[in-house]
Amino acid sequence: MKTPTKQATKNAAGMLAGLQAGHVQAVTDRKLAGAADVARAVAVLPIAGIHPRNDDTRPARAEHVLALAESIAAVGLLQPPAVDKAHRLIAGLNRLTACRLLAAGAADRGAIMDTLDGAAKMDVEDTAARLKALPPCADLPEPLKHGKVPVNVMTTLDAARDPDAALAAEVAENTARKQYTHAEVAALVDRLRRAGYKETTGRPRKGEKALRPALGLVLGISPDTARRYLGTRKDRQMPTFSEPELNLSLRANRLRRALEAYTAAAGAVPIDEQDQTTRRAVGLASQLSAIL
Amino acid sequence: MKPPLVTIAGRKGGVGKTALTLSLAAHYTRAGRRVLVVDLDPQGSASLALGADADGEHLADVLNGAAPEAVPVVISEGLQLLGGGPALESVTDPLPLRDALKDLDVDLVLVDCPPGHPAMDRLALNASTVVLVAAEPHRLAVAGAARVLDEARALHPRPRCAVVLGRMDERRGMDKAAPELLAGAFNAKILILRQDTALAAALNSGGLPPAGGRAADDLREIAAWLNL
Repeated sequence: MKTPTKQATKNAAGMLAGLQAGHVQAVTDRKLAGAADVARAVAVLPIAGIHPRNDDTRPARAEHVLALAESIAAVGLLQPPAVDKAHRLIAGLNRLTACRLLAAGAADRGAIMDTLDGAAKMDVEDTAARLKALPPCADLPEPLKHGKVPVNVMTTLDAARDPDAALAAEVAENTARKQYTHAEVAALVDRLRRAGYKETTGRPRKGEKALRPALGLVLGISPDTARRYLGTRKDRQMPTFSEPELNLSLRANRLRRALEAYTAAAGAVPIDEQDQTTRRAVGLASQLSAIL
Repeated sequence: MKPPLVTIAGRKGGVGKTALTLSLAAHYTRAGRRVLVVDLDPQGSASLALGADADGEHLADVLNGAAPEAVPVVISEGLQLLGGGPALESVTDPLPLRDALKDLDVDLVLVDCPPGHPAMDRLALNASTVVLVAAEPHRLAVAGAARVLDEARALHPRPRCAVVLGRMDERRGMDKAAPELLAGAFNAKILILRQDTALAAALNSGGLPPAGGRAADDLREIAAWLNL
């Protein structure tokens, strides 16, 4: 047999390197195709029609579920749980359990609470009072009052056949969240305030509903991020104006229009894309607008 | 009847996908078959080569489900075309290709895939009877071919695939050694389409590849392997 020349060996090595590179790129191709293949559809399903995925996911946590139930009763379910094509739960066990608790009605809420993880460690009286304060089914937001929840259906995902894909989808679902504009956050804060949530400093007292953690819950963000969204700091005081200053109505009107224009322009940018200075300026502008 | 569908893909640009597609079209129409060429390329190369409109708007509508049915243009006796072009860039969530083409009465469908467009490749691969991967005996083209083959094998457990090495000139050392080397590396049938000036000239002047010459001889062998 003829020994290959040096050049021929080099040529062959070049082609085989190409082959290897192609295989590596193909792995990324498949990953991207897989992500695109998880199609989603928004649906409203009866709570009873959503099945547990399997028994290796964490149980719903009592304290978290009750706090979620309170916020959902106040502003509705903003982050729908995700289910696979057979309506098995992929992500959102605590949210779904909170909906189940609410939809069960006043008589059965206590029994559901008792089945949850960590319920025994909660203050019995406080829990009973909070459960009692939840609205009756008829006063729940749509579609909860009819025992239904909005869900994202991953129409090509089958958790029973492909548990790895289900786990990947769960992780993705729990790390991705909607971006909210300043105006959207402001509207939510307003709704929470009207539902009795208050801005508190330190630990909320018994029976007190704290705004910041509730905002964190409904938006799916950490309490620290919620603090940033609210723009509250212990040391920040509302600016005050003297009587003569407030009487300068012409200038005040001009200022108000300018502030409204500024807030509208800055408020259209998702809050996470605003830099710190802008966020502070928007917060200040809305405070000033409120005064004007 | 469901006509056989041949996907011609390669991922890399300039490896002879369109030349192979049109050579096959010429071969089969001369043999009296009714052939449909589907040009999935946003550059509309096959459409341009056939002297047809290359905007791709009708095909984009068909794939987007916006057109009630696919209406190909007639290029010559036995040869029809669904033209490609820039409008195909608007296709993000296409209908399955077989559904989009379901009412067409032809004997054979040849799908010319674009370079660098995995989603379009998948659209065609999902509908394929046979896959021809166009490549050249060169590192960059081999990488593109490997991607298409991996994709085809991920979509079907045992797809019918062959790699067509184009513009081959066995006087070059790389070209001479490549078929054997790549047959093993790809674990696939290797077919050859030799360098042919007449083929290039025909495509340049908007005509179909000639009936004679080196490339035409090679086409007969490729068609024999396809056995459609």
